[in-house]
Amino acid sequence: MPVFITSKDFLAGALYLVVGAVTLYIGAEYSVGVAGRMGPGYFPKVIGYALIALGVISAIRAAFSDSGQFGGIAFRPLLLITLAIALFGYFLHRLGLVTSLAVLLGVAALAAKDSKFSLLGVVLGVGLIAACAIVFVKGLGLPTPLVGYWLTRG
Amino acid sequence: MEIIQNLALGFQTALTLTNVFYCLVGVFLGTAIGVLPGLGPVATISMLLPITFGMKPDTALIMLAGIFYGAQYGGSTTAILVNLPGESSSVVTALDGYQMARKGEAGLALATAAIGSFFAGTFATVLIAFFAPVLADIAVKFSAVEYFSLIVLGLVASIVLAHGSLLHAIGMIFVGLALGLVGGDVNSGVFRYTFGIPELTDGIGFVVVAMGLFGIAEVIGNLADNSDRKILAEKITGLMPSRENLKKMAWPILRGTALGSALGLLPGGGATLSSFAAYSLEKKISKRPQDFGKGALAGVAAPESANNAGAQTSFIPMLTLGIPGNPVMALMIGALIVHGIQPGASMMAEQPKLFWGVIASMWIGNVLLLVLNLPMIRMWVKLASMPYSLLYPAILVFCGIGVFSLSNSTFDIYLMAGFGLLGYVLRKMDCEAAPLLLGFILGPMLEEYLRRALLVSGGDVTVFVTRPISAIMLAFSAVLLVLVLTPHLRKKREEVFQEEGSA
Repeated sequence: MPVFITSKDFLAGALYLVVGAVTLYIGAEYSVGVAGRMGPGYFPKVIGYALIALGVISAIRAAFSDSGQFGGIAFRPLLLITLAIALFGYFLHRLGLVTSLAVLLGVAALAAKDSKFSLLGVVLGVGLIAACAIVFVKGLGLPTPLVGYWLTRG
Repeated sequence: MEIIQNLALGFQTALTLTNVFYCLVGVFLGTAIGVLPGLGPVATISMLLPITFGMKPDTALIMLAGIFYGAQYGGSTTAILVNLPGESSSVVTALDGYQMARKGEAGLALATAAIGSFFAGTFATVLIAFFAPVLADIAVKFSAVEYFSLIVLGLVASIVLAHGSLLHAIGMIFVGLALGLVGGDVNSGVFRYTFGIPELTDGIGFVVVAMGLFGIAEVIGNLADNSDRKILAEKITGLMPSRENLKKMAWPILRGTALGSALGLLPGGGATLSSFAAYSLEKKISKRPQDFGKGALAGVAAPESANNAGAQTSFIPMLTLGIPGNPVMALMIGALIVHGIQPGASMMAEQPKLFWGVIASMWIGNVLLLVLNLPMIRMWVKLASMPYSLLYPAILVFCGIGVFSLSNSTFDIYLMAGFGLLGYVLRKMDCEAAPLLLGFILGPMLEEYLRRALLVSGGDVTVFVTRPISAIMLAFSAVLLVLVLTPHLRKKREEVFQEEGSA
């Protein structure tokens, strides 16, 4: 496998190609119309082709000049932060604001490189959750339960 | 004189107790987030948008605007003291500002930044007062053709600004355009790219995208880097510059202000572009270019004036034409729309109190920044030294709740997480997220104006070059593109960004 396949340019080009291809594929079912009477499919088509062109250019460039290897992904913060937010969304109604915030904070805390248990951190976290509960739910009327239906159902 | 009348009306509106209070809140918050790395005006304004829904529109805009230019100020403080530019517009300030601090001239650097910013802010306010009515008059003549070309110009300008590869800046814009396709097509009512998901029928919320790409991705990136910051200059003295220094900074401030005001008007322009350009200009015309990068006063005075002028004048295209020049302006438009106000050519006539009130408030905000912040430097330094491990969980919480509160949809939370992931991956590919966001926001407008323009012209594409204003804008775009692509200037551009890289 030649080295340039994993170079930044190539992968960016791959991204453009994929997005362009998807745009064209799904966009094929929208009527295109003519320039004077553009249909819903007209603009997507333009964008799709442009993206494919950009993808090809990028891939070619990757083969001829070095843009640096794609790498150095810090998986721990990436996956944990993304997970933390997703879990927050998942549990928001099911467990309620308080618990889901706790989940968010707990998982996010693990994402830091030198993550270690800190009493100050826990205290601040509890304080933050309490402040949010008061300000957002009681104060601003955010329509989310403090305790979710998983917990209230027994 | 009409201008005096307008400004009088503006100050009347801006000087109410409520508005001054929220202006203060805005600039204070703005400085705070400008100081804090990893939290920028885009993310903050997104988070605070929902809160502004209950306010009156002028109060809301005044506060949000305050956050924006306040952040420019806060960013320069950390740039000078910690060599950590809190905002992208402060990157150049760090080059010489930090060196000045190391030489023990931190107070002078900070004072220069403050004075330059204040002067620029005052000038910009007056300039806007002159220029906005003129622009609004021209804008009335704008048809879909001109709007289309203007947006194209804006996108091209943002390519010039984007760091790194031009190809990828263009690529990011198109990816953004593609993302903007999601949702209902206004003309035909067809739902595009919604994959049967009901939450997508209105498209992807741009606050979701903004928070994900800029807020969450930033958090991930910061955690990944885990760099150490050393705070310099525990003792900050010499905040009152000597007469000699005042003379030295005068011309750079003037030049920076002029340049920033001009560039801020360009769609795609604004604070960051202005500060880079001002720095380059100073270095080029200086009698001692070798001083730059080692603590040249002009290297702080000019960019700081430029970024403040640019930040304020970037409100003009937004207020008079309804076209956002940068993501922050797009958020402002969002805030206005929620209050039922459509920014554009007619806004000046229909909502003069709001229009002039916001402009007057910018000057008031500048005064507040000058008066309050210099004495509060110590506090800002303390804030900057707050361990990131305590800060980022709070950022995540506010982003999470904030994004939920927009449409009460947990789907948006998932989307934001996804965009956070995407944002980080893009960083790793050396692709800038800002053009993507701009393309995303401007895409639907671009399509709409294109459609309308071609509808009226009966499919005739040449209409874009036969109409004079449009032709000028497109020609300008072409010139910009050519300039950016020619090898010599390309090298210069890389140089500027290289300086940023080593900062």
